[in-house]
Amino acid sequence: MLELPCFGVQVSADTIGRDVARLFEENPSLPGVIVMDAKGFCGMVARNQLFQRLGRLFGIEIYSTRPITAFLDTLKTSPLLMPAETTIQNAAILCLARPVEYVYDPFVVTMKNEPPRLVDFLALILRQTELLTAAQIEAHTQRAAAVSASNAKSDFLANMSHELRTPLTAIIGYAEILIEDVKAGQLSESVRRLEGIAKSGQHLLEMINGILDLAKIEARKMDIFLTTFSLPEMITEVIGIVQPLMKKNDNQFSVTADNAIREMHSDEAKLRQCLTNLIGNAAKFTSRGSIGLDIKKEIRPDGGWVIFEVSDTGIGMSETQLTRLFESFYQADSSISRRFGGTGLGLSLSKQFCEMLGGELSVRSVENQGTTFVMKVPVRSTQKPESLPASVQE
Amino acid sequence: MEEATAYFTDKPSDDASTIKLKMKRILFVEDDEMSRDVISTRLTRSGYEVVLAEDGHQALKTVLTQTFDLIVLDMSMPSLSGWETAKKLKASPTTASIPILALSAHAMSADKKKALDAGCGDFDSKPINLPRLLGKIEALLGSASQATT
Repeated sequence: MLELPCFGVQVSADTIGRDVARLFEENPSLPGVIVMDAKGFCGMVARNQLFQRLGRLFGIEIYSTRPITAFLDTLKTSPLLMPAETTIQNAAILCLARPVEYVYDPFVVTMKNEPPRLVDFLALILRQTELLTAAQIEAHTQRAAAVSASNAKSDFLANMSHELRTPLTAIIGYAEILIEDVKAGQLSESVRRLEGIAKSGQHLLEMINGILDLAKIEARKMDIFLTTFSLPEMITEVIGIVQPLMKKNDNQFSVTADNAIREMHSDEAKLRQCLTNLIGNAAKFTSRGSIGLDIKKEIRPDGGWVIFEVSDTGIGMSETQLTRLFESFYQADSSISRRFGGTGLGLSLSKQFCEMLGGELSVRSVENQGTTFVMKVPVRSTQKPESLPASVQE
Repeated sequence: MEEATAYFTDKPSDDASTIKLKMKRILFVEDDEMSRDVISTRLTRSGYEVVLAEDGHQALKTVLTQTFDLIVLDMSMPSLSGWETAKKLKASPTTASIPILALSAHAMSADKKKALDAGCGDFDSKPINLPRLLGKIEALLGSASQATT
């Protein structure tokens, strides 16, 4: 209650009505005065009640020379006393429950070992209105956020349904065709169809694994395993994984590394997954071009950082494509996964893994010239409780 | 309408009415290679003559030179989507009367509405259920032949 403007103006019990009226005239914001006698607090006189009495026929003649205590006896329901801890909401309810002619009176706030103070009724109601409005705005904002989150979930589920149904079309279709083939003893195309089933099944599995990883991240159940490991060894491993992908589109792959970083303390498996995913993407969208992995060290006030740059000379992306790049299942168009492979989840996962390790993943690209992904990770990641990538926190 | 020789399916159904004496021509528009292979094989084996198009542009070119009884149209395709293709087919007087069956891996009711709004006569979702798909194809072919008589 004390956050409201409080007035502690006191008058002694023998002050005459005219002098108190003058006090009110000199202090336009004063809602009332506290009346004290030899024993201490004996009541309150509200500005409106005093002027109302003085304004009656013969009021000035009768009352202006009477002591202020003459005004106390008529205020049967005032002063309304409230301890300082009373909430704004309860104070408003109590004030509004007064008889109508006293509703606009100030009320008295009491505190232990301190003189009582007055609070203006209108200031209280104004504050109460502000609080209610703020609560409404807050509720509205929360509702909007909930609707937006729910829409994002629905979009995700709709996309997921579409992406799962496409390989299933091939799996179920080929299986049913094979059943007919076997019954008819027609097996000439069986191997091709079985390969179609196997390939679609593999694609489906990668997608389900990606979806599970995203679900784990959202549920904050994705564990981070921090270990100290050799960066050059990890890079050698990554090169071993991605090298075969380079032959497919006839790409040249080169690695440059700053030898200053030997050891990292981070989640090795997640970093490896991010790097193979970024380099794999580069290889997919580049043909007869070059793909580079460049590793540098950066010293920041908060310690050392490793910068991994994966660049290609491939098809690149437009501004519009770049803005949605890290969304789940977002591929520049839905046929890309079919033409280029991939689940549409890799970049979304890589970004979230980077953020969980305290790092960041960004991209720059020029259409038909190439793309560069920049992954920055602290040399020493620290395990944070409730570690959740920033992009999920919304 | 092109007359074809009598055709009997590999596996004749118990219901003699499903055996077709005149092969109906279907234009199947689908960008995904495996879906195209699977669904066209199943339609061919069910007694239809199937012509393939890999995207909307190719479909619009094909309908200029050949006649079809029905178009089975995938919805999410690059460059020219199924929705846009359906609208163009319905806007052209030479192709407006060919019934279109939308076929999509987008299986929500809103996706169906979007396809019907684009001018498709019916909608079916992938993965296909062959009897259900054939039922929809037959219904569209039936209503189209009724409309022309």
